[in-house]
Amino acid sequence: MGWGPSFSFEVGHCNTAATTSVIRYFFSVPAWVQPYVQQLGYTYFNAHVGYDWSIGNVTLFAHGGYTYLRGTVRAPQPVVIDKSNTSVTITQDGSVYAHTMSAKVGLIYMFGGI
Amino acid sequence: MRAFACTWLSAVLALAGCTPIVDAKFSDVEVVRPDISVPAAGPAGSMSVPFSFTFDSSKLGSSSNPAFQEQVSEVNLNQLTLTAKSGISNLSFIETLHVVAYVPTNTVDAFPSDRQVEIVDYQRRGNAPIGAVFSVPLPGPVDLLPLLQPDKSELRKIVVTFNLGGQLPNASWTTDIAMSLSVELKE
Repeated sequence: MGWGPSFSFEVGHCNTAATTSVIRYFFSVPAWVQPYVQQLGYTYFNAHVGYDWSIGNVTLFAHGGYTYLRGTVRAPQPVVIDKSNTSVTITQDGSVYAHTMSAKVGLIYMFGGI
Repeated sequence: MRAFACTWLSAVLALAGCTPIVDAKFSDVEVVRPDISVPAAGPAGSMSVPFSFTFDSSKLGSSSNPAFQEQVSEVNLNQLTLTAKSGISNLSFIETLHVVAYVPTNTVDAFPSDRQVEIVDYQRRGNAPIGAVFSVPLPGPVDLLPLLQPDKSELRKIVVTFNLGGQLPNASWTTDIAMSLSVELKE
């Protein structure tokens, strides 16, 4: 059993793939932009400090810090915007950059032993 | 200490904080209006013909709400292209082209508001053939952002008017018009 402060740095990547309404909500995509966010891929970086508690094979943690994300928006299908068949096509992938404070709590279970 | 391969199982219960600062850039967004009918030139001596088309700009971010207007920080028109669709196969007859875009008022007659942008005032130089596709030479990127910031007395629509001059066809014809935009969003 133990506890103490910690620092963590994470890098994550998601290949460009079709989005869902949940993903678009999570990324706070404005309603009028949503038809254009047909596919999304991103890479993110987290730098967090926090506190960890270890009990046996389980570690509980609460971390907070900063997140930077860069992504690609792709819309292979044209979006028809009115009854006159005016369409909008994103012919080159869009680039998205975001940064925000972030936090997470969770647990780690380690298989094996000392 | 014997180390074994470890796997980790983490449950992210919260990923929260301040409102994220988001910047999105789209370098090439193409708005296409197909099958625009252009009237035939009148009797001999008629050297110009006007035509226009209207499209809904709400799905391009147009809003009368200042908070939403701030989400769209830049919209530039970089290219304007006319493509002969039916009735003609060559646009080499074009000598002059004046294009203006405006936001109509929210009245029965939808008059042009003061929110207007001149896109191009083109005059052809030389006799090089144009062909079926005419990429109108623009003096530079044209700022269309004011057209996406209507007030409550204006519609969330954009009217693009053309005044075409030259040796015009005596029969009506149709064209596709494409506008290539660069767009930047912030939140």
